[in-house]
Amino acid sequence: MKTDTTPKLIYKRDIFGIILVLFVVTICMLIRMIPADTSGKKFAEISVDGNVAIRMEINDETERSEIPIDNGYDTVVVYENGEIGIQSCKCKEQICVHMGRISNVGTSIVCLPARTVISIVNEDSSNTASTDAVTY
Amino acid sequence: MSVGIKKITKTICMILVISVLLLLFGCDTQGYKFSGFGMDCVYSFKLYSNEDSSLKVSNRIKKEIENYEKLLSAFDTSSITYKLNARADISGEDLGEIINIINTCNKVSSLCSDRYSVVCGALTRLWNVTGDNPVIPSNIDILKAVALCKSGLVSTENGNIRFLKDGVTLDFGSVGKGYACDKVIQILKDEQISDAIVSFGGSVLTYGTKGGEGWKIDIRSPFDNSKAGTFNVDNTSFISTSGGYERFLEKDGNTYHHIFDLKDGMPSSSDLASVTVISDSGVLSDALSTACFIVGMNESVKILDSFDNTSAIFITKDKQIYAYNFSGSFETQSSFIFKGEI
Repeated sequence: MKTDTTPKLIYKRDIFGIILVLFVVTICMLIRMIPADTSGKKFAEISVDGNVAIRMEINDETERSEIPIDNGYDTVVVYENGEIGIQSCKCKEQICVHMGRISNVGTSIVCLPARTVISIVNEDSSNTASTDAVTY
Repeated sequence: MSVGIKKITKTICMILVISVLLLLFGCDTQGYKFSGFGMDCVYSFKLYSNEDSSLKVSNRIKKEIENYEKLLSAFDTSSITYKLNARADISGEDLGEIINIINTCNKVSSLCSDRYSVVCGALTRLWNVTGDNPVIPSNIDILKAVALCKSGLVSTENGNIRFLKDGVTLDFGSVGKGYACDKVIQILKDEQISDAIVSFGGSVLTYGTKGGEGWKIDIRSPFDNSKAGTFNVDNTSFISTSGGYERFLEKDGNTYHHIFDLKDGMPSSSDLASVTVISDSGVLSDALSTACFIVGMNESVKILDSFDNTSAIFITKDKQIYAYNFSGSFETQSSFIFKGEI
């Protein structure tokens, strides 16, 4: 009798749970591994208040540069070795500075107090994201 | 037991959600893109077709673009236009294409009292705005050049091109990109591409319906690098924009842009900052947008009334946007005011 009431080490539903977690983790990793569209050029877009203030091409050859951003927070964006990030910012939390450097299409750094966003985009997905062409 | 079923249902749901996500990431119908330099600008193509035929078509188009330059370039010494302007021997050359372009442009010229014409080489060469060392010409030189810029001074009768005066030359700078679009459409038809978007500099060809979705085109702001608005085009159209902001020379604080009013030989100064024309011919769109930019908004309406299937979007110098015969939707950026139909 006693042996029957001893709790099992692993229940069936636990196996389900473990498999589910493993599955989700694997899928997440797979999605991350799908290479972003590498054809064409990569651009970093720095926007303040939702307006793109600076749009620059980034590649491994570009020289190191520091870009001051006019957003009232003396934010300085640094760019080197194909990566871009916020070097300094007079915001309280400094979260944006600690986000480090980014370089992959689709990633972004946000500083909420300074209303500033840096995002890496493809050639086509600039401020003309949903449009097919530009006439000028 | 019921717990097990719930778990299974949950798992299936998760798998479904993730599959949908994967599909979104995986099935990207981005089309086949290529670009290059030609016709004095950057061109870019996006073909909605399978990769093999796209590759073949792109190679064919790249080759053809060199041919267009051979026809229309004012600087390439082997181009037919250069030879015509230099009065060199052109026997054996096929002049049909050039005559078609001249005749189309002359139609526009006649509607604006010759203030726009492709017979303007004397003046554009004199100003040479895009040259290495541009200087502002003297008034006398400008007037002399203007006298040589009249559509009537070139005859295209009997399949021949004759210049009726010495010093009269052709300049297809205003319609070269539109002509390239006109030629490309033939290749796209030939190769049975269903949908494509093509741009030569700021001249755009929308080909097909993008699978029924239609095309969205931005108009660049004439005042900075942002956009002025976005409009929709449902099917095949040629879109051309003219403005004085793209090519100009600066001297003593004044800017002199590259579009000249042949009335006085000076850079045009209408109430317009830019004009976008949408029609069913590339050369016509290019010629009309240039002519409209020169004559201003009110006069433009008289020109455009003479053509079927032609629409226009005007951006005035005080940032107002007007439409002409425009049926699509227009989305204006906040710094501009959309005033609707003229």
